[in-house]
Amino acid sequence: KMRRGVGAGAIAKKKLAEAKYKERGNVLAEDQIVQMSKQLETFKTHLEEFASKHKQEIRKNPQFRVQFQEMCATIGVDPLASGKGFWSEMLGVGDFYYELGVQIIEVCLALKHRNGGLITLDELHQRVLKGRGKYAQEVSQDDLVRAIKKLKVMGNGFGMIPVGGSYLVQSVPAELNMDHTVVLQLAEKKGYVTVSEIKDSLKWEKERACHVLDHLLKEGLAWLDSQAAGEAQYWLPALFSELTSRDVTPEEANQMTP
Amino acid sequence: MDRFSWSNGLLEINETLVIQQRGVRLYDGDDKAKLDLGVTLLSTHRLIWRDIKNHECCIAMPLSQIIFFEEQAAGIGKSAKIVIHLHPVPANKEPGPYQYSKYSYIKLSFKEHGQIEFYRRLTEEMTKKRWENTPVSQPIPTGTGSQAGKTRAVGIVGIERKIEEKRKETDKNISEAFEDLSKLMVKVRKLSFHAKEMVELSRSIANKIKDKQGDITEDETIRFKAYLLSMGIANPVTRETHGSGTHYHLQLAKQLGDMLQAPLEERGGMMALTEVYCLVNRARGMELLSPEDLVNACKMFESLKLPLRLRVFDSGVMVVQLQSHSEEEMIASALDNVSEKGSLTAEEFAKLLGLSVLLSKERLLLAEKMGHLCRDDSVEGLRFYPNLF
Repeated sequence: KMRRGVGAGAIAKKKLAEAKYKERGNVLAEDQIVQMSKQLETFKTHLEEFASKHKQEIRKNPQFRVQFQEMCATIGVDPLASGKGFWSEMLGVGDFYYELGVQIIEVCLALKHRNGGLITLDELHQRVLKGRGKYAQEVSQDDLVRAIKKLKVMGNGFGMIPVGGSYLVQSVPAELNMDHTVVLQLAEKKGYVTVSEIKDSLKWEKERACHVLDHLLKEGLAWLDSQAAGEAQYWLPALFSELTSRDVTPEEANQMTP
Repeated sequence: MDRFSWSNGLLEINETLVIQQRGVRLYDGDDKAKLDLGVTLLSTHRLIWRDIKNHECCIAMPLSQIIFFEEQAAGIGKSAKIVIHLHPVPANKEPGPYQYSKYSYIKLSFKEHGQIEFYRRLTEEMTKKRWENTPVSQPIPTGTGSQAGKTRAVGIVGIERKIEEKRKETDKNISEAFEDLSKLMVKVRKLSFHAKEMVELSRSIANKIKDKQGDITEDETIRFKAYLLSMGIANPVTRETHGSGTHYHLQLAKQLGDMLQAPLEERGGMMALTEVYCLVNRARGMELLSPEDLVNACKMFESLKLPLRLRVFDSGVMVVQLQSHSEEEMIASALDNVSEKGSLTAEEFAKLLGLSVLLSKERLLLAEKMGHLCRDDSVEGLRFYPNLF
């Protein structure tokens, strides 16, 4: 029986074994990659065939897009990860969503000074549809949500806050924690909220309510109406429907495209 | 399994029995259905299943629900199966044993064999589509069915037929699209599974990358990464420094380096990544970049020695910045402007420099971080003053 020594011989032996293992691992990997390349080529053909028949369906049919996305999600494949992906190149799925991303960013930028960077999904949907013109393809809210999820990787604070059965879309890096979100949800019904309402509904101390409301004011997400009858009202322009009907002004449009 | 409706199992007038087979268990997708063993019957119009012990328990589904089907060979301890892929639930479907299913396919498991003949007959019926020629009243009435009046004006019949044909044509196109999509996804699933196996076995590949760190012309690793990229499978093999490390992003990075010089100069040397995204994609018009493509390309600026950098502020805002516009310059300019005006908000600073509010705020925050400015944070807004301490 050989003793496992710590001498130079043992070390050299170990290194040789490692090198051999690595080499074998390399050969194994190369084989599999060659195999994968072949499979890839076959798949490309199938996808080309599918695209030649159904490319239009992706563009025209929101329901088809949902099915497609859900199927990909089940398999663990992200068709929107790259413009260089098959899905983009052959099916044109990518361009649809990436362009939508551009339109979403532009609408949010244009309206930021009005609503502080917070907008309802409904309003965003309306404005994007308007911007696309009447001959453009149909865009559903599901489409918008998927496009927004992709925008998150670019920083800038894109996010979605669940409110009143739908969402508020955030496009600025303002810190919004659970307290802020809950107050936003409370304000959703009327578009504004008062300190008393917060105290009654949420059972908070006055200090906590004021702290949250101050933060929203500072971030430009809320406006203060101190002249309101009774108690001061904190309005959220994102939820305030009267404002949403106003078109984007030329000045605001200049904020959009460089 | 939510495509099935309760049935009395009686055949309609124009419906004929083709084959029946005992000892069949139903599966909802990959899960055993909450039903026992039964008899499955194939007619010219429907697929029917009845519980062997409890004859009252009988369900049926029109054959038109079937997109396509395939055999699944028997295994050790597993019976042979036929997997049947189905169209989405129609709006007028009568109630059945399942309200909802997450699967769009079922399986028939043949405990007492008979799958070969059944498969053959099913293929025949799905080819002949005899139900189209001799329609029975749909849905199969379990209560009192309504008999539509048979007498109509001749003209209306003609129009109705045209509408019906058009509807069938559209339906056919859409069903074909969904059908083909299902088939495609079966292939995608197989491929993606293989790729995932590769990712798990990728230790050998990761070692290769580690050994040749910085040398990204390694053929195999590039091909592997490109493979994952084109399928849209997340690649955990490479670490953040090289981003995705593919040729595509390398070329993109160089293109961006050229394209962004002038716009960056015009904007004081800095642009938010979302701004860059819009600028670049508007210019391209088609074959657009994904957000991830842009981020991955920007991560390569440094290693390619291009005069741009991707930078992430504390707030999470990501910008592309010209190397030439140094940090000190930006802070000095912020301090100068604030001192000159006595104090500035982000909006005022933005107007002065012709920058976006977002970025002018970041500059002020940076100057504050370095101790040159201090803030007055009130409900009036955030205002910066020179730090005289």
